[in-house]
Amino acid sequence: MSEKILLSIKDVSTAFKINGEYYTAIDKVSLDLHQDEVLAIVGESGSGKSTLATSIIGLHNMNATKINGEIDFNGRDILKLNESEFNQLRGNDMGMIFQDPLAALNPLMRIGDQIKETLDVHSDMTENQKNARVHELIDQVGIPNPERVARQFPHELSGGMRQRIIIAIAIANKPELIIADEPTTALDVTIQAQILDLLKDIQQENHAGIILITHDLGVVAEVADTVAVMYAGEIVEQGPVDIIFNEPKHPYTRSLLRAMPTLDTENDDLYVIEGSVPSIKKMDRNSDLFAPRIPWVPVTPGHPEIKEVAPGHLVRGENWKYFKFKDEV
Amino acid sequence: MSVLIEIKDLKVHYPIRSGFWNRVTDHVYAADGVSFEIEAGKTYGLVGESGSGKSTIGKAIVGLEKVTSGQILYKGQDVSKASVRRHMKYNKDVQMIFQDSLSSLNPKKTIYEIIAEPIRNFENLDKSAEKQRIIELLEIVGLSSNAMYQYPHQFSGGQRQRIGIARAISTNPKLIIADEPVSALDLSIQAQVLNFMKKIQRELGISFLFISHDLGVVRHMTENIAIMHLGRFVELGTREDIYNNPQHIYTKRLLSAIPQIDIANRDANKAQRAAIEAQYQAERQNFYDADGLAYPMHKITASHWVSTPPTEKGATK
Repeated sequence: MSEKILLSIKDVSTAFKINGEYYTAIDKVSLDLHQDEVLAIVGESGSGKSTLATSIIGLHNMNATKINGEIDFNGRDILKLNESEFNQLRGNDMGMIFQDPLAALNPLMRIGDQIKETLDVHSDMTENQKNARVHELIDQVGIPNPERVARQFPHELSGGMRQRIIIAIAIANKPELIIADEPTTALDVTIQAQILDLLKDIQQENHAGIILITHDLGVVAEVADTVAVMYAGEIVEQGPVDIIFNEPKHPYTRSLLRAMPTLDTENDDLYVIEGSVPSIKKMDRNSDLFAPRIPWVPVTPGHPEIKEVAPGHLVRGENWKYFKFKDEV
Repeated sequence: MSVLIEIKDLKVHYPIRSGFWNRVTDHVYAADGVSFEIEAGKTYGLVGESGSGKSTIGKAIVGLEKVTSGQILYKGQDVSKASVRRHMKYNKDVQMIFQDSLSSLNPKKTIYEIIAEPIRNFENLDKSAEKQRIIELLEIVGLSSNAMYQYPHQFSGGQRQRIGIARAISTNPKLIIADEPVSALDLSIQAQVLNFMKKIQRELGISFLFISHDLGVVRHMTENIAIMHLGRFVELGTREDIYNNPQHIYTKRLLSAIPQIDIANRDANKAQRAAIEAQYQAERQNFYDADGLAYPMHKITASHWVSTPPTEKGATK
């Protein structure tokens, strides 16, 4: 991991308009991503992790979305860019990998042409150079016989192969930042392992920074350098991957880790987090949003702030200091 | 323990039609010669990648899939025929839980109607007894009796999955086939549904056939595990046999691909995974026949079966 900060997110809040009223989906999120770093953003559905990604890459309908704060990418505040300036950035300096590779590819276009599209827009290579680069990219993502695959259509490839093509498109212009939103969720476990190893290799070759969005803690433990855990639109804990897994502090992080089936849980019940994630319309931003999920812990009034408890390790609120699981009380 | 269901050389082939006359030109061998037994009150896991045929086997056992050849013996009768199933009220005893809880519940029916349907099919209860039974079932799955009058869309994913479970246990079945029941759920909800399935399994003594691609969940849920690849079983054994002493190269590959929460040894795990993948590519032909299909399984211990080439010394059967 290098010292150079690639992307700096400061107090970013995103709100969506529902029936004329704005509701906050993510609330004052601050994060730094360094060059060569894999930052995993973890959370359940509704935690705002994908909203954060689409806020960075600018994929929201701005008529119904309000984004506040600052996103500093290589010295420019990208929230202040206009559409054409942003288009210069997307696909060139930033690449995005989506969850569903079939939906992200055009079914009527040959694989080679889809990869070439980003080169058409963002580079001034000749046609021959582009073709050579397309074959090189297909080869780089580990698909044999690139010339033949470039002429095929998406339906002729398997799910794992399609996801590799999506990765090839995302890295076509050697972006400095790659955002991967659940890149392996739709794939089989053996393919998942290959794709994760591939992402890691590409990142090391290109010196890119990766934001990896996932709900799968196993995936996080395999590839991430740093982790941010999100709940109800805010970061509740953030730190280096070994700290998050070995010394988690926030009650939500600890609950998630305990809910996972592991080697020692064969004959026990799994831990269940009480209640459910509040809906966006019902989040009371002046309270501790996770408190209703741990009702046996006394509630501290007001909204807890996130604080640094050790270098690089941030935890929201104070109740982690005395938090115990219900069966430990 | 007594054998509940015996599956003998089950084959499910789908025809591929093509050409001008739409004639059958080839077959997809979704399940190709699978044999195993399900004992009363025990839990079984069926693991494989997408396309391995694991769901086909589940569907064939409940009778949602037409069997090409082979037998499914229940109480000595072959229930692969629809007439036999109807005659012996087979589906009262064998029920299924589906992966997608929203699409498996009729959106236009209330929860009462949804749970009452299997009861009405197999039992003759009067109105008040039926209602009593439904309240009981909702209580077992941890929902309040008000849920009866609501519709599926008013519930969260975890609650809907529990409604699916209530419907499956409404006829007091002896076997439940659960096809990826938690794959669409978040971790905290997954824990809730898994605990709950374990609880009813223990309390009601139901046998479970748990179909999943998630080896972590299968290890947590089941005592006996079968690994499937390309329509055939490659390995069958107890949880300990499969996880601590895997024999088949494909099982080893599948196990090595599970993400580990072991940050200190991350690079070592990655290297081991690469080594097993290389071994898999190199030794593949020793484990599969000329058509790329797994060989029949042979017994290596009392509980452990592995697919091995017929000439090897383990060939006792």
